Amino acid sequence: VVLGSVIPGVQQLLIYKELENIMTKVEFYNELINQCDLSADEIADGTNIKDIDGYDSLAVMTMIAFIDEKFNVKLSGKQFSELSTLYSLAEKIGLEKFQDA
Amino acid sequence: MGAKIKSIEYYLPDNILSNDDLANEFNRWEPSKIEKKIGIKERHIVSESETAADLGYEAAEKLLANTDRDQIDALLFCTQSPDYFLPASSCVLQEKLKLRTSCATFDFNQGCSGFIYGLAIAKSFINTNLAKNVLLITAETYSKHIYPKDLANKTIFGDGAAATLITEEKDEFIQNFVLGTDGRGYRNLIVPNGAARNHYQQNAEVFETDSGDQYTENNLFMNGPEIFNFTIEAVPKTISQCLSQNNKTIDDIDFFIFHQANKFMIDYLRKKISIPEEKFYSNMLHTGNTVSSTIPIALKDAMLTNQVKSGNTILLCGFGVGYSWGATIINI
Repeated sequence: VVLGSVIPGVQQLLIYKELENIMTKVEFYNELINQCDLSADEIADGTNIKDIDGYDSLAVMTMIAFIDEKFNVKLSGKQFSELSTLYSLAEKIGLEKFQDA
Repeated sequence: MGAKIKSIEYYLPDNILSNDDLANEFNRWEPSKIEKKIGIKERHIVSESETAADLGYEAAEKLLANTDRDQIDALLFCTQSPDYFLPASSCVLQEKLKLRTSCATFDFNQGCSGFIYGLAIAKSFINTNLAKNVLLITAETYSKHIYPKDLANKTIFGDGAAATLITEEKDEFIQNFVLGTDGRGYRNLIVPNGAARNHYQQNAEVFETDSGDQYTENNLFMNGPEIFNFTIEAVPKTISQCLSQNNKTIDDIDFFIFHQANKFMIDYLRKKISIPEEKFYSNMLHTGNTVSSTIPIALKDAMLTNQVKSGNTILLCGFGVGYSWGATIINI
C-alpha cells in the first residue's frame, strides 16, 4: 500500500506500510483473479496458474503490480514463470502473510 | 545562455494495425478489454520498403516547413533501426533534408530514454557554443524486428518518428538532467541476432512463451514482467532525484509526461509516485508505444489540446531498453 504524504515544501515521500495477515489465501486468490481481469472455474490452492483464463505476459505484469501493491513483495518474471499453482504463488509471497498460514 | 524546445512535429506511417485486426488474426483476447488495460486501440506500422530514417525525414520536413533549414547547426538522429550498419543514417538525412554541409550530424542508439538523451546532448551543444539550432529526430520501427506470431509485442509497439527543434535562448528552459544505466537488464529487451555478436540465422529455431507468443533470436524479445519490475524500481527514484536536483517538489510541476510504454504501467507508476491524475499525461490510443518518440508525440499532443500551455513547468521521464533511463524538467 502506498501512502503519499503531501506536505507543502517538503518532497513527497513514499511510505510503504507492509500489511500482514490481511486475508486468507483463498481471499487473496479471488482478489488477484478479479483485479487482474482473469477468470477460472475453480479457485483453490491447487489451481494451476498457467491454466487460468487470460494468463499471458500482460496478466503477469498486472499480477506483479497487484502483489507489489498488496504485500510490497516484488516477484521477478523468472520467479513467476517457475510457479505452478496458486499455492506456490502464496508460498513465494510468504505464507506468514496470510491469515490461514 | 540557455536552450529551449522551440517546435515539435511527428509523423506516423499510413498503415494502421487495429486491436480488431489482431483479435481476428490471433483470437486470443477481446479488443475492448485490451484497449482498457493498455490504453492502445491501434498502432501505425511501416511498409516493407519504409525505414525509420524515412519516418524521421517526413517528421523533419514537417518541422522545416516553418524553419530556415540553413540555420540548423546539428542533426541528432536517435534510432535502433538504422538504414545501414554504416554510414550513419543522420549523414543520409543531412543530404536528403538539404541541410548545410557545415551541419554536425550523428546517430545515437537509445530506445525509450532516447528523447531525454537527445535533449541532454542538444542542451550541451548549445551551452558549449557548438550549435545554436539543433534538430533532434527520434524514429523507430520495432515492427520490423517483431516475429509475425508474437501477439504481445505486436500489441504494444507502433512505428513513428518525431522531429524536435531545440534553439539557443537567453534564459534556460531545459533544466538539470538525471541519466542512468543498468546493463544487467540488457537481455530483457533485445534483438539478439543480426549485428556483430550473433549472425542472422536462416531457419532460426522458433521459441514459444508460456502465453503462446512465438519468436526467434532474429526477432525482438521482451521480458515484459522483468521490464515492469525494472520500471517500478527505477522510475520513482529517478523522479525523486530529478525533482531534488532541480529544487522542485511535485507541487511545482504543472505536468508530468512519461514515456508512454503502456497505460497500465504508467498509471501504476503515477500512483506509486503519488502524482495527481490531472497532472499526468496518458495517451497512446492511436500510436501505441513508439519507443523514443512517445515523449515528443505526447508533448506535441498535450500542447495541441491545451493541456500544456506556455509558461508551464513539465517533468519528462524516459525509461526502457538497456536498461537506460533519464529525466529532466523543461519550461514551455
